[in-house]
Amino acid sequence: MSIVEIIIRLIIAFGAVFTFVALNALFLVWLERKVSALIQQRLGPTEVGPAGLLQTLADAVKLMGKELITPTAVSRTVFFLAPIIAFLPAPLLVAAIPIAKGVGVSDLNVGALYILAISNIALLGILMAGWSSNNKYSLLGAMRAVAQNISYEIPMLLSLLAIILMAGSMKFSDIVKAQETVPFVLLQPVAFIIYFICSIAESNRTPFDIPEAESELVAGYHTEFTGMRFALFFLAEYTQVFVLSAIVTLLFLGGWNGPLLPPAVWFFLKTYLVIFVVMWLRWTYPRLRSDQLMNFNWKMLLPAAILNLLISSVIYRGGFPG
Amino acid sequence: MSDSETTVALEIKPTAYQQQLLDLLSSLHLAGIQLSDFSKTGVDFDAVANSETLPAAASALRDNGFALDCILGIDRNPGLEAVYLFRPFADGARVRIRAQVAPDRALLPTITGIYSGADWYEREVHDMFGIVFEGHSHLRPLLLPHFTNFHPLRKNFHGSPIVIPEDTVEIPEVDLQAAMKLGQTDRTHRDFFLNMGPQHPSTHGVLRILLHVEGEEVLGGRCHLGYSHRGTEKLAEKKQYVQILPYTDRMDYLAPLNYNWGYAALLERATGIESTPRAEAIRVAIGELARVSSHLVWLGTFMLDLGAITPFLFCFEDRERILTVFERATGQRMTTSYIVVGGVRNDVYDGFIQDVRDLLDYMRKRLPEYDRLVMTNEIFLQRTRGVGVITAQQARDQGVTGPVLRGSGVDFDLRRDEPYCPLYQELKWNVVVEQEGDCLARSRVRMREMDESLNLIEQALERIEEGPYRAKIPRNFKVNAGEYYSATEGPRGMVGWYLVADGSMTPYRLKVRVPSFPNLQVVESLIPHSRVADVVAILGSVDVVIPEIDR
Amino acid sequence: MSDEHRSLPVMQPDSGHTDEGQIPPIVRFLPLQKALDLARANSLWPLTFGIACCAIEMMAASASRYDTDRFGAGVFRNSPRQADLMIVAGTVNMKMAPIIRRLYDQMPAPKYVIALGSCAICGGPFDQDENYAVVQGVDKVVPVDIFVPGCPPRPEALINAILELQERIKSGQTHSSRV
Repeated sequence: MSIVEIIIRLIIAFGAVFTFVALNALFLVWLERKVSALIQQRLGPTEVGPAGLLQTLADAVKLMGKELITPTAVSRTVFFLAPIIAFLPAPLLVAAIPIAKGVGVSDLNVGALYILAISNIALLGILMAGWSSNNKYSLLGAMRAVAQNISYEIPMLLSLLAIILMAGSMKFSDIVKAQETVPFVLLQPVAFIIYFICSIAESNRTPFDIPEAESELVAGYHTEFTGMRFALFFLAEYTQVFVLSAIVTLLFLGGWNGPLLPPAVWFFLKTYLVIFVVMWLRWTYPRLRSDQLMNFNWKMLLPAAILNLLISSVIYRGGFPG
Repeated sequence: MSDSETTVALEIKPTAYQQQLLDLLSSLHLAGIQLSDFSKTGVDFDAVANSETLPAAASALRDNGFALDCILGIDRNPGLEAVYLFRPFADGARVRIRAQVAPDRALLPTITGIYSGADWYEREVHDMFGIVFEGHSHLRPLLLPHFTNFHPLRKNFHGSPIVIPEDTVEIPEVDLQAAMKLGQTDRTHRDFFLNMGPQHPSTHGVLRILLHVEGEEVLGGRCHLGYSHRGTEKLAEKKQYVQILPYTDRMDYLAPLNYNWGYAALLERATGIESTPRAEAIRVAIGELARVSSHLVWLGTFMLDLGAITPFLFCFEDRERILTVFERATGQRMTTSYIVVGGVRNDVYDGFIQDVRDLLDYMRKRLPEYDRLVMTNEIFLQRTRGVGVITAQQARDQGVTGPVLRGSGVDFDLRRDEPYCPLYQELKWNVVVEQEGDCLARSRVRMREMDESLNLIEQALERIEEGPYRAKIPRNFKVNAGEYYSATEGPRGMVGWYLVADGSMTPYRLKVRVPSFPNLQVVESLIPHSRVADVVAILGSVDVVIPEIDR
Repeated sequence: MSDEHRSLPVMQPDSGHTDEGQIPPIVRFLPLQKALDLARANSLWPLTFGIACCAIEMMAASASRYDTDRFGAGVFRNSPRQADLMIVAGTVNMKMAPIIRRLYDQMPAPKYVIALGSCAICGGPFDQDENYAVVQGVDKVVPVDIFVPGCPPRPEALINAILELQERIKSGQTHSSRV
């Protein structure tokens, strides 16, 4: 591969990832508003573009044109860097997700591990945002976010291990291949439930949206951010929703496996179905309290995940060398 | 306006219970003990106390199961007067104790050590009249900004506006720390104060709560009121009786009809005008509808506080349907001014009964849905069970009323216990009581009250008989000199109206005892050792309306 | 009661903007300006901020039956930093006025204000002789783009105000447009 080819590939990959991140966020915000409207006996955006499809575009353009306020009391460097660091993992994560066999920016052989590792960078951005804002709500929100995400990482990892155990690989395409006959959701229902709950908690959505609990913390860690800085947090959140749903699809729902339709279509169908469920939950449930959230994690999810890992290793790998 | 005019003591023969209370009062070294005609003045016993006898009297009344209704000030010009109203839950025996002070040396002992609910009342009286309550730990302005230097409800005050000094827009932090006097932490680290409001999504308006937090745990908090203070009570002294009615709408905008009703009931008690049977039935039907609509807003906003957004929209949609009926019947969605002295302002429209019946059918389908969506939700139960427990004794000391009181196991509802409308005695309904006193109990009380209200409406519709919708009222409406008190049960609790009339067309003094005032005050004592998220839940569960508190 | 007695948080005639980030453009690029105005008009995020009765009608306007989200004005933001539109819904009193000013200053430009209801317009029924507490209209504190009469105005009136504001943003007739 020549240098030129590498550069061209890089540019294409870069462009594809960023375009996807932006378009996906625009679409998801629109979808969120439409889904919430459906649940709430409303219409949602209708006036801006056909069926309000241009609504989120208008929002995005507006946010670009807003004044960027840097309050006097903030820690300027950190305040400036925080949204960028929070947004950074979003394209990195999207880049590691294969859409179909051989389609996608990359299909790492440690894909599952990579996802877990990179997604935590966003947490750093959140912490920086909360600390640098010099706002008590932001600080509380960041504290909650860090505590919650780190805690939920553990059962998430453990349930992920059960899948890796089944597939014998951390590569997403291998994991999908292992589900050609039966998707793992049937073989590993407990892991699926735990992973799904954890991924909702990781993306800070209801009923685990305590880091940005609107009725308590105004807007949580991004209270002080305006315009595009706020939009970056928004982008990051919706990309994370997509990534987590995509991973649920890849790990449990058989990825792009499916009859008749092309694999990529299956992948997106399943992913957006998961996203729909995530939104459905958000618009139905109230929010947990932070200590209840922790209790639920450490007293319920974690033991369940460990047990599940133990049992599945005995059932699927018991007595036989890997 | 001496006491002899307002009380009709000698004509009444005291019952055994009343005699017992009379004996109690006379043992307290109080002066001027009199039995008063409840149906005419709204008060059963009158007594006069001074600085020495007041605390002992309050203490004795508390020991005998009396709750603090209200403390209000009256400028007798010359001379100031603080009026204390007490009431037991058992029946409507209301005791009024007056304490007179000179305007230049307005000192009274505090009773906050006896009734914790006296705290804010004393601060309000201090704000408005400048009576200093000795021994009060926190006698700072409650409703007025901290930099005001006048007492607006004194008669010699003629509306010089509040001047905001250039440099004191914010209360300095140091002052706050000194004022809060929490002291539960060791002061080795910097204290962390969280300022909720006045612009905060879940303070239900412009309430400000200053929280002292330690991580997620709240050590204490203080409410700062007055961001919606509009001087209604001062305005009322300049307005004719009829002109005051629209202001009652704007005090409690969630159930303006119940406020209209309260004010009408006050004037009816004061003048002896009786409303017509048709009007009574319409009042019950429409007043209970207002209660349902108010509870719906509570449910929606409470769930919003707990993080669920959808119930809010469901509730508002249901409320819209009720408002549609209101609009057809009264001409307005919210500020109705519909229930007037002697009846209702205009007759209901032709299809009213059918419309309300349809609404009942609809609501009967919706309420079980809310039960399924909200009341049985595990997260909801987790967030509310055991959170913000108000004991019955605490409720009594604080003067809490309404669903909050009934959620604490006290069986007290003015509709039954201090009837202001004969229909409530005749119709079949129950007072809803829950024992636990936590947020969940309060929620259950309100949910079940909606059911009861629907039953009441259904029965009231059958009682709408032919006849005049309004009694004849003199064109120049006047109230004879005297002092009158009337209390009705609003959706949030007891709405009390204290009127000092001087025989003219305007009131001399009109005090509104609003239910949210003590109900919010109790929140302050529930906050310590809860979590930040609990504060929001507690505040949502007591259901406060800020402009009603601030007036 | 005459006006000179009242000392209010002073509103500068041209105080629609905070100092930071507001440099008058050296070059005006009209198509871009048009596109921005169009986007701004169609994405008015209101501040969650209710004072009194009108706030309930504001909530009703955002609820299912009236649904301001149809026009892109349904995303209520709790933080003034992310809001474009301040709907002053209720009576402004002397204690509240400085806070409204502060909230307004915290919002990023361009920002718009709707005074909802009689109280926010002129003090409404509370602006009477001997009233010591109520400010005679929020326009004494912040620059107001649209006044909505009513006590309280119906939700339709608020929707109408939002549509009117959209037209004004598109044609550059708001306080924020006049740099």
